[in-house]
Amino acid sequence: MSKSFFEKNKTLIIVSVVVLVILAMIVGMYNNFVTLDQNINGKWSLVENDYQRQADLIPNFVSTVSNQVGVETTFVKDVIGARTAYATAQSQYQKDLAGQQMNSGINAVVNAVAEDYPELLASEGYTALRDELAGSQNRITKSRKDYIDAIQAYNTATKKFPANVFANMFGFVEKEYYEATAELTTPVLGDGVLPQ
Amino acid sequence: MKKILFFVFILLLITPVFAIPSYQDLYVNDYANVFTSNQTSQLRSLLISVEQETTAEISVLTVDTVESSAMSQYAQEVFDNWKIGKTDKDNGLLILYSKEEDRIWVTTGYGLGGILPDSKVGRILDETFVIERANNNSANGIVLATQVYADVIIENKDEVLSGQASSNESDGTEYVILFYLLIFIIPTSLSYFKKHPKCPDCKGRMSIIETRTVYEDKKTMFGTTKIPYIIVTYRCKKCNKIVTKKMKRDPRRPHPIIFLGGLGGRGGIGGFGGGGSGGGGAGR
Repeated sequence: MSKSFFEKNKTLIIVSVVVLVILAMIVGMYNNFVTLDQNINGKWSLVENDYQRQADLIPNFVSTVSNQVGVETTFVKDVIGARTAYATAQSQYQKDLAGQQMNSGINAVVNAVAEDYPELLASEGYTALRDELAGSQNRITKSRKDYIDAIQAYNTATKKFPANVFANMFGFVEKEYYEATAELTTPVLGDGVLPQ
Repeated sequence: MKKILFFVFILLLITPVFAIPSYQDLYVNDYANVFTSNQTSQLRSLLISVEQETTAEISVLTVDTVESSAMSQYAQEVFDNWKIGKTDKDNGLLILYSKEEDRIWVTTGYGLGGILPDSKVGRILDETFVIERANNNSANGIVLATQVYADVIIENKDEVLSGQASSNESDGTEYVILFYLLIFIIPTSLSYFKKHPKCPDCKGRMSIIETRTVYEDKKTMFGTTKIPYIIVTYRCKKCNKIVTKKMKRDPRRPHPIIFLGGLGGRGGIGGFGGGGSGGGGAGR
């Protein structure tokens, strides 16, 4: 009985199939790295969107409170300065740091109003603003968390076996993540005038 | 050992506060027993009809206690965990109430941020929940607030239905599918060729007529045992030739590897639509 093509070349077929499967998996691994890497960039732009949203709320916020609180006070100046610092920040790290300072600057003003300016606190215009500001803070917290999670997912993938063998080869190295601490430094802007 | 026990002890202390509850119902989870059964069924039928009409998923959750400053974060974690709202539309709304602090927090999905900006969410709470709370009637306040949110969503049905485009990242499922395809296709195609070998005369395909099991004696060091073999009878489709082969495994029975495909798979309990939230919302 003559052997079929498949029986004759059984070894060759099995080896080629195995090779193909391995190749497919390597391609999959590479594309997975690319996806995770791009995901980090995507998540960072969401963070920037949320920081920008907050920065855009500040002018209205300052003008609403300035009647009572006055733009000359330290914390209002801090907020304005932090907004400028955010707008002029260059690197991702600088932006994150500036954004966090903007965030805590707003907190300081909101707390001051809550403590010392009850009429302002109760006014409807202020309430709406405060909700928007609280919302923007929550959004920033959420998107930063997603951003840091994306970095973690990427780092984990580059370390897991067997992907780690190929990660370096493909040029995907571990990325550092950091917690930008929000320390309020003395802002550059000194005269309380809103930048245009 | 002591270090581990200490660590576990600390974990147990903080876990109750932040443990994310699982949902027993898609619409109302009244773990703090705030509502009367009347209110619960009222809420449920309202929220079910909202979903049917607009696909938006509103869910109400009451818990015994959440630290006030942690309400928004807790609500966010529940929202992210349950994935409220349809995946493509992100039209979920979570209403969280903590009984001991008597506070409420509402989290909006990405897709509802247009019709329910944070200030509007807060204003609605001021007009309903805050007033009722002052009268010691928080449960009713939650019901009223929910009704207003439902109204807003239904009024803006078209926008909710079209949904905001949520970020369209792949989560790697294609590779999982490809992997399972591969481990399914290869054994399947190999077993096809075993089941339908080529006819030696006319090169057509043969199919199986019958299989018989025979036993042959084999001498091993433990004595003589009977080894089962399968005698397979094929008939060629073209020339009707009969061929018999002897083999060890019945080719008609499925190859063991195929069962691997049934295991694993993506997580995802049936229930909520898989939507996400960007952190929008407000609380009182």
